[in-house]
Amino acid sequence: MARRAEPPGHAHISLEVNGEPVEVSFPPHKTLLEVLREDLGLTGTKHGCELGECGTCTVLLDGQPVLSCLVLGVAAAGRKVKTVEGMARGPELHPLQRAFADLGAAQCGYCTPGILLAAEALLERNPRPTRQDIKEALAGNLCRCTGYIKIYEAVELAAAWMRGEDAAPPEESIYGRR
Amino acid sequence: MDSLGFHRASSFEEAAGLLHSGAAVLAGGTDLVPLLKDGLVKPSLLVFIGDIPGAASISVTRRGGARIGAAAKLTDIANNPGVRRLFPALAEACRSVGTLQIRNVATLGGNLCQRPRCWYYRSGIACFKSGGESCPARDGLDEALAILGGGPCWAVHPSDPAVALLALDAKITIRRADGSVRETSLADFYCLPSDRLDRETRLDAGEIVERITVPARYAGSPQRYAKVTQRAAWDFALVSAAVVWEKRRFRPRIALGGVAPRPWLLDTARLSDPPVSRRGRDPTAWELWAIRTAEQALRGSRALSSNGYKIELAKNLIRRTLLEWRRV
Ligand SMILES: Cc1cc2nc3c(=O)[nH]c(=O)nc-3n(C[C@H](O)[C@H](O)[C@H](O)COP(=O)(O)OP(=O)(O)OC[C@H]3O[C@@H](n4cnc5c(N)ncnc54)[C@H](O)[C@@H]3O)c2cc1C
Ligand code: SF4
Ligand code: FES
Ligand code: FES
Repeated sequence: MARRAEPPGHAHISLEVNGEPVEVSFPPHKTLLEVLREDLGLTGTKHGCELGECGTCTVLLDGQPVLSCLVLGVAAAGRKVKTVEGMARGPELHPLQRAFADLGAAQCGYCTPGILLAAEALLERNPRPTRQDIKEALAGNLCRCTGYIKIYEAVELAAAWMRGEDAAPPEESIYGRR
Repeated sequence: MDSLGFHRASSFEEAAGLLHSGAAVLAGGTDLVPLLKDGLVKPSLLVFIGDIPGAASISVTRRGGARIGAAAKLTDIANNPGVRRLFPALAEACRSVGTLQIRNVATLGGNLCQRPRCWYYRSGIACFKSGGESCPARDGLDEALAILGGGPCWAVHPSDPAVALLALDAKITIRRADGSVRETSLADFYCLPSDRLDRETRLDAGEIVERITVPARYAGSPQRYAKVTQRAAWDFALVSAAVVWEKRRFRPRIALGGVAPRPWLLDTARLSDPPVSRRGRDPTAWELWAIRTAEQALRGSRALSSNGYKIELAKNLIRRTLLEWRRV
């Protein structure tokens, strides 16, 4: 027997955001992006094209990178969401954040939260990515500023740190000197 | 939009029962959500199928073929070891879709039922697809439009997986509102704009795709999915081709994407037999056959003002793909 549909209005869901249980209520047409930014006050996730083409709204859903502008909030019920706000541990930046800051891989910074999360998911499944692996993992994230090279170098540097290697950025990356 | 209802279905039977007029199926949402936001579809109820137990299951065996739940994610299909080994054309087609972020959410059922990507339609310009009386693209920016099967709408079908599944002769299991089930071939699942303009499939009101089945006949047979895009990073196909060889008779089933308002299956009866003899394959004869097959495949195609390049592109893609089997 078909159950009756819930009445129109607000949807009420529980989910986990950055490790904390959260309950939130919102109209069902809202995207996860809108719920995060407007209902949960997490404005680190950026709002770009809303068409799935730029990647700046990327968050992790159960550890997988997804576009929060294309996922309805109601579809995140009972699941784990990670946003850029969940990357640092207290005052300590995530190695990816540190590498991006050190190498100037963030310029205007608008693409950065999405790229950090896409890169984090990559390093989670592949601690030693090739340049090609990084390019593929970040193919859905547009950056208008950096030209991507510094982003690739920062991901490589963070990957080395996360493997426990004592890596230093190339001089060229920092000072432009060869 | 403020009166939009939402229901989390617990079975396909229940979901189909809720699909009265005004209700829409919500799977991953990667196609539906932008259409909803832009007011191009205005459902009163969303029936969410993503939490139905077993709806995302993928099971593959050499004997039984592949059974894929409508809510299976494209990432999971592309990475499934059985699909990669036995149906590599399908794995390649799923991997070629959009970006990782999209494939992590997009479902196979949603991919097969996605709406046209025509720029005019998506921008909210009145046209046949949106209930209007003309096709502005036909006389406007027409380089992405169909070279086969077009008119009165000329938008091409955007799905990659559908092209591979068509060459693999996949079957679709459909649940109806009264709880009964019907099965159709993927070839009969799609229609042309000359049959029906409001949608691209023959799904009736109250019907929902529950499962996609790939017959065992083509499990492990030589096969390939090839896609040409305007840029390398990610894009919809300008033209794509799936080639799947029948093991016993050694004839190819060829389907094309990006060329018609539906995934386009070539009529094998119209194609010459490949030059295979007991002594093996003569590479020159094979190449001549590939060129002839490409010509035969595009017979009947028609260019509008600026999409004629697709005819040559499709011929070259077919020829190039068939040449991969020039030597054994
Ligand atoms: C930036 C971008 C790039 C893309 N590139 C490609 C590409 O290269 N190749 C390609 O093939 N696709 C591409 N797509 C399209 C994408 O693959 C589809 O949007 C996706 O597969 C749809 O699946 P979904 O689960 O998100 O469907 P939804 O958005 O939930 O649904 C899509 C449609 O199908 C209906 N529907 C969903 N499930 C069912 C069902 N089980 N039964 C009946 N109806 C159903 C819905 O009502 C809706 O009308 C791209 C999309 C974006 C945004
Ligand atoms: S091609 Fe089809 S969708 Fe595009 S404008 Fe013409 S009728 Fe509309
Ligand atoms: S805002 Fe989501 S992809 Fe651009
Ligand atoms: S740093 Fe400005 S868009 Fe990437």
